[in-house]
Amino acid sequence: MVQLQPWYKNAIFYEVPVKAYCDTNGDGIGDFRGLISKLDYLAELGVDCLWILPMYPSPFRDDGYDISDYRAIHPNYGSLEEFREFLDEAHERGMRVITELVVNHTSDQHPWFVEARSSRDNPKRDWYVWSDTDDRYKGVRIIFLDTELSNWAWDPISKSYYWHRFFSHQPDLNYDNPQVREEIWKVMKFWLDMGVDGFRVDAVPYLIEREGTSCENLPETHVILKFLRRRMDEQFTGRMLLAEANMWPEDVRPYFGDGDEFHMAFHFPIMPRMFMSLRLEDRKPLIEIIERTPEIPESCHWALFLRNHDELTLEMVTDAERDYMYDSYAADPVARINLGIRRRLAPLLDGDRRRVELMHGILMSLPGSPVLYYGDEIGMGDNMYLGDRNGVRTPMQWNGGWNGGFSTADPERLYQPLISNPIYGYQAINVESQRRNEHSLLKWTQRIIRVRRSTSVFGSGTIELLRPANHRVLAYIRSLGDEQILVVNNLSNSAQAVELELPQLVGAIPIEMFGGSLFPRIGLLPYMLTLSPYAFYWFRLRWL
Amino acid sequence: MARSSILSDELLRKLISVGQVDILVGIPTFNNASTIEAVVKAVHVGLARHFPRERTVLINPDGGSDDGTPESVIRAPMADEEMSGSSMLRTTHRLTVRHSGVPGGAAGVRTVFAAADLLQARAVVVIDADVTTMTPEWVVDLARPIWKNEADVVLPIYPRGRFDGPLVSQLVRPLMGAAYARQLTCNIGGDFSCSGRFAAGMVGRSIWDDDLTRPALDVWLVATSLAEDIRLTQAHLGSRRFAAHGTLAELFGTVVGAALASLDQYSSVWNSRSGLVDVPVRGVATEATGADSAIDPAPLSERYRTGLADLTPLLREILCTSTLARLKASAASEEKIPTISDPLWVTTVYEFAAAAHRGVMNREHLTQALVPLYLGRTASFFTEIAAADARGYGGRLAALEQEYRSLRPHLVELWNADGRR
Repeated sequence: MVQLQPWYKNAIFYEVPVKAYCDTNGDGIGDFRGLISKLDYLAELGVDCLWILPMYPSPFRDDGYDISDYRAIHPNYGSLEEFREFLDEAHERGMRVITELVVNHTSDQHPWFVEARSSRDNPKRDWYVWSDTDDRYKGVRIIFLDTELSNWAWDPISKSYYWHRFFSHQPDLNYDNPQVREEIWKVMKFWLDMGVDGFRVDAVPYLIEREGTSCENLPETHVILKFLRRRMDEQFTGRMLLAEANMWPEDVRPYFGDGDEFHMAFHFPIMPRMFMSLRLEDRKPLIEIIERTPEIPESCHWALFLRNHDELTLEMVTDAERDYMYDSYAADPVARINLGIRRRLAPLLDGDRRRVELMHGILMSLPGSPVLYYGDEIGMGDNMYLGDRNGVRTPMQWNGGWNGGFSTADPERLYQPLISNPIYGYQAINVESQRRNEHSLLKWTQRIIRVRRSTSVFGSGTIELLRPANHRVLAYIRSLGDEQILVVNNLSNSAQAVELELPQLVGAIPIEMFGGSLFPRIGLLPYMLTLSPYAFYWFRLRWL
Repeated sequence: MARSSILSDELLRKLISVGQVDILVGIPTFNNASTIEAVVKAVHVGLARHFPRERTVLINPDGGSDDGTPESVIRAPMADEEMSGSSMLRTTHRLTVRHSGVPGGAAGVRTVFAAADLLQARAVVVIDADVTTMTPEWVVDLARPIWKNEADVVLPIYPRGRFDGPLVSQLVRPLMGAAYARQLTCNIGGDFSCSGRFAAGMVGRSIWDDDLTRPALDVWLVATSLAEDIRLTQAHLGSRRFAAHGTLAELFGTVVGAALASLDQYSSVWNSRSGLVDVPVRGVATEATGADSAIDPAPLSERYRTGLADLTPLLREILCTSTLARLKASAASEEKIPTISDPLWVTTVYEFAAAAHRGVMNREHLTQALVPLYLGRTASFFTEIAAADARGYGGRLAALEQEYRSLRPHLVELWNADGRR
């Protein structure tokens, strides 16, 4: 009997920055009222959980990840009351909501830091990490390589250095201080009490610093995280913590603990390898990373994604692989930032509908919960000339009219300009036109989500990799109890023939899940399939 | 009626799975279990280091080994961690298949060429299975000129010791170089590479089935490249030991016979050429490793004297009167090792070539008649260079090649003569 699985194991997530979605008060910035107005669209799309990017008060020097008040909503986005309403409306439509929790650092404008830096004797002084010199924790890597030269910044007020793993205006909190841990728990409780279903916890590997280490993934970090999880479990049910830890899968494994730390974690290394396998027309990169992925506790789950609000990170690849990815996907150096590529899905795939579909097919059929990035369901483009990663955070394109239906404000007032080129511009790519076209990418995305939701196998099942001689074909079997699905993906730009050795499936009748077509019964001989360029099959297997 | 196929169904199925490739490395085998694993590993390391992004395949056409060679090919380690810090981005394919045809080089090479044609390979590298001295860098040295579209055939240059390979250095290479008006320093035989275009063009030719051409495929590939103005390049590789395959008589029959036959086939081509065209050389020359063991020339000279005497009636049909007289004079000298000068030797070779063209006797008998003269020349040359260093040796070879070029008009005159000597 198949056990009842936690909700997040069969959920499809949708990442949405409030500011980018819909503006209802004409100030050029998306707000919660606007998000509420689009919940029907999201329900129709079929997603199960919305991941809201930071909505807190912030000086916006890191697009809201520099928080200056953990218990409020930035006035640009609305009020706490409107946020509550948004939560209720989402829940009413069967959608859950997780919000961003930036625990590693605050803005230097946060009152805690303003106090801490005011004097060395201030009670909040020890809420951050200070040093009289910048010699401590030597050798620790710098994450924002393009902008930062050091992990220490000089504070002219208290005449000392403070530690920051990200931008210099984002001082790291000191988790060796129990007061900090307790305060962060209170922040979590504040939002959980309001009805938030969980948190995507930003930058978890960096909470603790110790001399002579990389200051990442230290054992003490897990103690803190288990503390927060335990407190949450004691008072709330059905809530979820999702870790952002850009590490090799074996290094992320500890963040699941024994099922007593994070419920979910992003599988970062698999993402660039999806792009690599596609360009190479070779399953090798994907096979290798899947095989490298360790077992995780039964109650835990990976989060998979194609793109997000950050650059397509190339941290967890070899130098040769990074060079290949740059050459293949970011020949224009403007597209490169930090160790990654700041482009959206559709432009990365040259607007090729077939490749976009294939990548979604792989995303939705590998073990893990898919996280869709807003706008990718209609194939939105990007503007890599906007600086930082703003080019992938442009306004949602609702129609071909004024400001793409995003806002009634003057275009110059928009928080960021719309994409307006002939290929990806809002006149060409928008929700309204795709709603009217049964063969649009939007309609297709709705369909694939429906098909995926028709079974729990993709969310909760195991995976058995197949290795046909044709390396251009990525094939695997997903199983959950008696239910099995055979997935076959053609990574190549040309039609392919593949013979699958399926002794474990002899006698099964493959039924193609999108159209319901019957395929010949699997026998003792290798099962021959032919696939058109970039095609994929999901076969539900029946024994009759 | 169904046509016979070069490629078996089994190989074809495997090739379908491989798909289009950029670089195809072929290693024909027949009972090479003792050496093949190291060769395969060197190939894979070479591909990983120098062509990590390219689509590659290693194909091993085996002639029916009974010593476990194909199994050794598959077993050879290929794990990324053994690649000395390199790694392939792509799946590395390795196929072994029993090829049809006579076990040996030609049928295997033809299988490689046919596979290259089907897979649209850009570069094809053919490696001998018994190259115990092969390094991973050979792969890039052979493949890169093809890969960069600078050549269609790359021939190897191995550093040879003073007493190594005289058949090539004294006869086959300078003969073909002079005849086709090309500056050759390469080895005839061994490892080579070619473009997929060249391989595809060669697949359908008759050389694979001809009893004369098949055993000396190396010679024919060189002759074809020289005659048909294929873009040719020579690449320095490392030291290579050549195992003896057959007796000297057998070697003469195949190699020298093939060289002479190629002159016949391409007669109109080389006859119309003049001057000397450089053939590009890539890489850095290295010194031969291993002991440069001197060979006692005395037995060779003995066979020369004996052979010259025994074969005089035959040699009168082949050689000009003056040439035969000079040879006899050298044999009659009181020197322990008779001297056969460059001009005398080259004249002898050219008169043999012309005689073969005229068909004065069965070609096999003719080439065998050259054997004792070759031994005498070898003994004379070895004695001369016994005290020479590498530079001196190189200079002597260069002088010999110059002599071949200088006397080329004599070859042309004899070739086109009406039988007068």
